[in-house]
Amino acid sequence: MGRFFPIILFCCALVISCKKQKNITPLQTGLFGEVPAYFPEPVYTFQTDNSFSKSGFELGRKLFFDINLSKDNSISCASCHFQHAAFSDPGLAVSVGVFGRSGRRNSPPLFNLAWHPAFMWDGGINHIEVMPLAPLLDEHEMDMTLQELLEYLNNETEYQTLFKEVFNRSEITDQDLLYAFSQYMALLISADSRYDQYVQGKTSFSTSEQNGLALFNQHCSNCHNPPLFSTFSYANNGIGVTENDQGRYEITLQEEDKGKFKIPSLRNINLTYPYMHDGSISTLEEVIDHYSKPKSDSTHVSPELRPGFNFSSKEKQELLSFLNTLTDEEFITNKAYGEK
Amino acid sequence: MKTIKTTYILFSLLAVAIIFSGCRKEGCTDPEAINYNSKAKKDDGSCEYADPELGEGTLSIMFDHRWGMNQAEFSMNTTFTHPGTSEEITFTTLNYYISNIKLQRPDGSWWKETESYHLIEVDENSTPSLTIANVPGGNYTAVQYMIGVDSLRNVSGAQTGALSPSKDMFWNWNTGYIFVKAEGDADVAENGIFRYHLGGFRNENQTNAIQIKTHAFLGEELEINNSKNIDIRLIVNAARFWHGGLSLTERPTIHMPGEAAVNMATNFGDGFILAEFSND
Repeated sequence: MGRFFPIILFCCALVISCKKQKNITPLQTGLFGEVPAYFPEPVYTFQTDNSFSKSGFELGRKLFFDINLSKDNSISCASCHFQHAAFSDPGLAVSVGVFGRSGRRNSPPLFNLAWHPAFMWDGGINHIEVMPLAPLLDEHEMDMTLQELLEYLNNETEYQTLFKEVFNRSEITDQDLLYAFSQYMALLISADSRYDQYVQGKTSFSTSEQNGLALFNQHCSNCHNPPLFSTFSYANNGIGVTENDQGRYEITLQEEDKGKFKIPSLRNINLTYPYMHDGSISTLEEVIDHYSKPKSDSTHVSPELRPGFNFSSKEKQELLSFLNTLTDEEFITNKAYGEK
Repeated sequence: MKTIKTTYILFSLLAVAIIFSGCRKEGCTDPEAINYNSKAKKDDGSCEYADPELGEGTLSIMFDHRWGMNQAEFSMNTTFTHPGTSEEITFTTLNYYISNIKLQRPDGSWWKETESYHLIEVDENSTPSLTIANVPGGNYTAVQYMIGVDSLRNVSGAQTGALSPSKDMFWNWNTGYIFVKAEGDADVAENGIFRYHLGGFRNENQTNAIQIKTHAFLGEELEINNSKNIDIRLIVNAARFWHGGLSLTERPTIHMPGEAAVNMATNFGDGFILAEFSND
């Protein structure tokens, strides 16, 4: 052991020195309390000029709730991402955009986004900073152009002042707009559910919840692995490939990606109904039933899901009670995240 | 035993040294130097300074668009004939990124333009150009550039300048830059239009459409100094999109990374030829 000590010290030195000197701004999650120690490092490092601040976060929040960022001034980001539903659109299979237009996929909840290596159900977007471009510019959602957005922002005295304060540039650019959004979005952190309190030893689980956790670890955690409750990989869970939506294939054009979608986090899952990429399943009970049954279409579905888990009704109940511990009341009521 | 002890002390000292010196990004930290790196935190002694006698010169690269092997005049909104199938083609848009421009010194080393991203837009002027104002004086034997945007900038979040998504050269649903955008009218195509949006930067699934071009100044050298402006003229053959006889009826649109985009970007890139440079 002794003779390896210097080598170990040497390696530690490399790690310590490199970690400290990265030429980037680490995510300042501390702005709103600490992230639990069992969370991994966030995926994103932010460019030096996108340094996080309270005023940057507040500017991002103001933009998030501004209906003037849509073509007919009817919807904001918050119109399809409600805080009380962990920033999802509860009850709607697909959300409604400008002029009553409909999209084709279920509005996902927004939290812990700094840990998502890619966004959207097909994972087509590779960075949190450029993520808002899709809903802002998509004709089925907000249907704006960047020119229209910048014209609006540069003509509003309040935005002029706020952007100047945060980014200190004479004119508001699209980069500033995206930076501001990222500061709000990256800090939407949900890590204080009853499950978290259980892991931290602050609360105990009922027998049913404990049994549910055991079942979860046995059957579900390969794809929905804690603490983020997703591997953020892509899988075909048997909902099916439609002409209208081929999932991950639309990004990669690889045959094996047909019908694969990004595995969603299960945090706050009882708030984010209906379920699946197309919102085709209304309740969590039915979702558990879906995975319980064997899958007939064996050509595309993930092999581990094909036989079905065949849960008893008691087991279904236990899984459900465990999934309910993933709701983070603090997150959905925290006024810092809400409209000012 | 003695060697172990020496190793022990050596490694420990090294470890301590590393902790204190840090592993900061090294480079030239002097803003006066020609290879100043704003991202470098620690000077590594690599700073190079312009020869005060020669100073810095201006280099312009002109993209002279032509049509076909015989290099016929090209212009937007004018009808041309497909080199293989004789289908009629009229361009309304022809934009592409030229990035990561480098010049090679006689000793084989390269001078690199910093933040080297240029959007070339062909309009009524069919010979648009880009200008680099601060090329250090000296002789150069070759120029290299990318048609497209390096993979790093495709995955690094919100960019600005030539790379701003407001340039409409960016896929917002499938993150990445459209390296080459060619659009126009073609009666034979479905809907009467052609739209080629070429890009893709990943090596996996063969979707890397980045073209790296190097033109050597064969035998001659580019002489840069503060008393003259140097022009390099490249010929760009706009008919190369359909090289190999690809017809418009067969493929009127490409709108995402993939094999088709790579093939067409490769063909288009092969149509960039060094015509001449002035050393006047």
